[in-house]
Amino acid sequence: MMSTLNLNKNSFTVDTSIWEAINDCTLPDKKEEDWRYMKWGKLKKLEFHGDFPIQTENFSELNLPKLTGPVIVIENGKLNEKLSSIPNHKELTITFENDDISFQKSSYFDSLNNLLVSEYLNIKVGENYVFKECINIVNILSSSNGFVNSRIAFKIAKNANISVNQFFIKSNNTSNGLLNHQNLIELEEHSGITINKYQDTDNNFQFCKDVINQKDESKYISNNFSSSGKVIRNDIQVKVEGEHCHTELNGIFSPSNNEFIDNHTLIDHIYPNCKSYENYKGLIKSNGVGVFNGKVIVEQDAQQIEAYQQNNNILLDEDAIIYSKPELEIYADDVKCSHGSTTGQFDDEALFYLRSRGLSRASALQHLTLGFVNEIMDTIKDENHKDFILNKILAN
Amino acid sequence: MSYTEKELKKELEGKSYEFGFVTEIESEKVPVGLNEDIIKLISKKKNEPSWLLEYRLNAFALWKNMPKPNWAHIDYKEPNYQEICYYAAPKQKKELESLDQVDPALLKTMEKLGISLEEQKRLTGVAVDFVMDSVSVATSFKDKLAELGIIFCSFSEAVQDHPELVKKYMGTVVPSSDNFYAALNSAVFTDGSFCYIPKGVKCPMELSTYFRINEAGTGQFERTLVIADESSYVSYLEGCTAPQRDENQLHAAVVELIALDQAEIKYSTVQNWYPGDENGKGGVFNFVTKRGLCGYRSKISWTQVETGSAVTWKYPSCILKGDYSVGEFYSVALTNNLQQADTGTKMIHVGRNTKSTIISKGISAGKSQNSYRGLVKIGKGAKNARNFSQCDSLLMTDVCGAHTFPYIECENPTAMVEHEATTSKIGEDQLFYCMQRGIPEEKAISLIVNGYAKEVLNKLPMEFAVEAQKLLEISLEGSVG
Amino acid sequence: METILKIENLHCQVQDQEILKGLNLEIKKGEVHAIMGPNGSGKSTLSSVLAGKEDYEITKGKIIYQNEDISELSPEERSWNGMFLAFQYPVEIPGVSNINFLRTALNEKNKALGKDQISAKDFLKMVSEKSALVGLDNKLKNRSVNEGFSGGEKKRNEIFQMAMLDPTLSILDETDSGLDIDALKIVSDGVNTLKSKENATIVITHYQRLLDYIVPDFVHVLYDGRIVKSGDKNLALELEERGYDWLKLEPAI
Repeated sequence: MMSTLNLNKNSFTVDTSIWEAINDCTLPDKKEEDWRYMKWGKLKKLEFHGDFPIQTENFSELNLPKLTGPVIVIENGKLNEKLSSIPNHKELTITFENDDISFQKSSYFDSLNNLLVSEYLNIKVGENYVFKECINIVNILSSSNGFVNSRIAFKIAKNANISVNQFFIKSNNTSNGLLNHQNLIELEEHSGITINKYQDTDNNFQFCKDVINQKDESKYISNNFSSSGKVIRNDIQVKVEGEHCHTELNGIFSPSNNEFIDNHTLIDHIYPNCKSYENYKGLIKSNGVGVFNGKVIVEQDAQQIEAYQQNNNILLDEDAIIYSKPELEIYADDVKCSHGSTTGQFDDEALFYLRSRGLSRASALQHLTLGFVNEIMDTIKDENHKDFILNKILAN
Repeated sequence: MSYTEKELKKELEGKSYEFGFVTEIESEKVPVGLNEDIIKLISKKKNEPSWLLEYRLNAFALWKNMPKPNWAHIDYKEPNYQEICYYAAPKQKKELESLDQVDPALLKTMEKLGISLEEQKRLTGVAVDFVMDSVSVATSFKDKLAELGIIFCSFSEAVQDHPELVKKYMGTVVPSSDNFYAALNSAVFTDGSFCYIPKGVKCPMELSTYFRINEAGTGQFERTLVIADESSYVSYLEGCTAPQRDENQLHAAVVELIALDQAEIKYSTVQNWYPGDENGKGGVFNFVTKRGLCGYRSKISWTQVETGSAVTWKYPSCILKGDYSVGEFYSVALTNNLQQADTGTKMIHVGRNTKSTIISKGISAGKSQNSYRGLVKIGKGAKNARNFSQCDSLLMTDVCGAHTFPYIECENPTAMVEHEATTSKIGEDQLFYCMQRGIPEEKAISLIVNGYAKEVLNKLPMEFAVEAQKLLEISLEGSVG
Repeated sequence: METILKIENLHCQVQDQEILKGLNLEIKKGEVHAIMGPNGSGKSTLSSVLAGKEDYEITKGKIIYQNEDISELSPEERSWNGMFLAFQYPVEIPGVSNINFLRTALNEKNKALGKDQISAKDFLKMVSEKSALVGLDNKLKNRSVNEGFSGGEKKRNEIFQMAMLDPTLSILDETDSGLDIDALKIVSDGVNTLKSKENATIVITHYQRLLDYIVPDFVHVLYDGRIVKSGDKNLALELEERGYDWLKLEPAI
């Protein structure tokens, strides 16, 4: 059965030709390997609307940690100028416009994003420029049943480096909204970007795709925290097109209450002498469902690659489910590649030990949880941000 | 015992596919192609009861509308199913009472295969059921086994002599609707092996079957059904060879194992179907469905050494239905030249306190592609299920591929599932060390590879382990990167 | 006495870096030569290039072994000709039993020399004789090659293999490293027992200590890819006392 999202035509102000093109796109089938665990049911039942106004007036309406550094607020795919404080540097230009970025459309959500986004955030960092502060980008979904498409294009020139905190949140009572977001990242020689992504959209749906191209000696670090969302699907696709690159993907995902969080990552090593590290931790609560599908490809000419991939999961409750699929596809021989996946529960002995020292069961579990996620939390430098995330993870 | 012995040196001298000879025996074939009439003809030739013909026709109807599996990491030209001959029986097929009655040419083939029945009988105590081009031609030790109530015979004989058992269990583990190749097999299977171990009986010898595709343009569609009744034990060996041919031959077998409560089945396979030449010409397409069903406290253990076939698509699996049942999968898969293998296992945990172990060692040489694909599924009710998987890959050249695709699906929070995998090339330090001690490079490689595969080879019965080591050595020839 | 090994003006490079820069050395039957030198002087390179390790490229000079230039010979051919290297870091080979490994090595050698294969009985007899020589634990013989061996066990295993293969020229590369004093004695006793008028030994070491047990006829100091000083065993004692620095001032010979 070919199917599409149920979109309310009248609410979208687009040309007929675009509308036809949208209708030509079909949702991926469960039989497709990349979508085999997807829960479409919830999504297919709903009708989605288009074009929503900017409504958020101040930060107190939003659940955010204390933000230091520049803040850019994108609400329902549009720039919320009132809440944004865009820095003005010669070497760091941030604009909201159509910059004719082309990218490969491989899924339904790619195609719709391409058809429906006209203006988007462009972040360009000039050669040799290292921006010391962290750029905060807040993506707000404030339209119930809204279908929102947004995009950010990062262009990091030679020797430049930035860090970004990216928040995906909803305002107040927004529910059943659908956010389809894309990060397109180009890293020139010897440049770097660190993205801390934080997803807490609660009763809404989110499809988020990051496409990264790495040139020689560049460094890409992604820390991905998915704490809540009816459905969250993350695709991170890194093409390592240079030598001596560093690629690092970390993640914590903690679905609970019938939530579905699906992480798909792809690291494609095309050139030799690179290193990649991947470490995802799943903490599955109540009847949440988690998916980890990480793939590392080492192409034939990519000798001397070191690639490590790890996924550890803890199932906390009776109905928790995890699907883990770490994949290696290796076509070069002089490589060091390994992957591992574990699924289990907290060690009863450890729990008993902590309780025998006087900790309550809840507190003991919190400590064990902290221990479980610690190595990934350590990648976050900002203490405010760290506390905020930890609280979210421990809260559910 | 080791591969360093004299006899091995001799084997090393014959460089190409060792078992590539064609036996000239008169054989009786049905016309090529596949339709209901052919199926009826096969069924009639085999004097089958009507329920079996019906089973075949149902499977054929299902097959016609089935999609071919396309998810495996393999690339090949689909055989034309209408150009295959689905039945070829060696012509002399009267009841055989002793080896004297066997066609001398056939005996010679067996000798070349190294499984001369006489020798096997006398020296090893292995009962052999020899399946050549679909029809079982000789079985031995039958009487001895019969004393214990063990039935070990060709599938066709079982259909005639033990229809109630066949009818009860056939298709219960691998239904004909399972997949494209299982459906095809269910429609056209010609023969195979059948084994039944009664309650409480420990089968005193290894049961062995040799499969071999001989006739040009014939596919081999055999079925194996092993039933271990409560508290029984059996170790079953399966060896496969095929002569050298230019065109691709199709092999689509179905193996069903049923381990009833507290029973244990050990199933070992050494597969060296003709892999095609170094240009990828010819070779067997090996699309096999193997699955076992475990009852309460039972155990099924699959061990396989795969060195042959142009394309392998094979996932010996366990359905761990009974509480406390155990599933094991030990595999060595070696690919060379242009071979492609997509192999692994499925461990489906259904019962409580079920346990599974997966050890897979892949070796890629030449320009081959070697994939491990395995599913570990812990069902909702599988409390305290345990799995450990270790999948290693060894790369011998810079133009081959080694891939690992594990699927871990866990729906019960009390489960513990661990998967580890590593990929690396053969150690240059190890090679130099061996060579410094006077061991030439090719020998050193085979020594190191055998060591790497040891954990799995150790699981094989002695006779088979030696043969498996030889096979690895032969298969690795000329693979130095 | 007959010359076993003659190295003439040997230049050798590894990954485009020149390590040996004109090394000369002559060894006759029945002799024990010690080669000493500070870290990075080229000691291990010398042992690797003698044994024929790939990546070690001879750019100039010759290695004459038993009257033959062996530069083009493979490691196994050198081994068959009686050259044995006891590794500084013996390599672990998982899953390959020690005993099986040795039997393969021995049979390959016999085959290359046109001799008969050794019978299982003779082989086992030889194993028990030779392993007694170095006090090798019986269990180790059946374990995988060097896998899970302690540092001392690995070194004993090297000398055991040496005894089994009966080499004409043995090169002991830092055999004393990682050995306690008892193990050092056992290993040295083994080497001394194997010494004869027909073979020769090169002992590569950093410390004088080993030379108390394996007494050299000649001591050479390797520095910056050349032998800068040669003498008798007293030179080793002098080095022990004064270190290497004083040699750097002396001109190369």
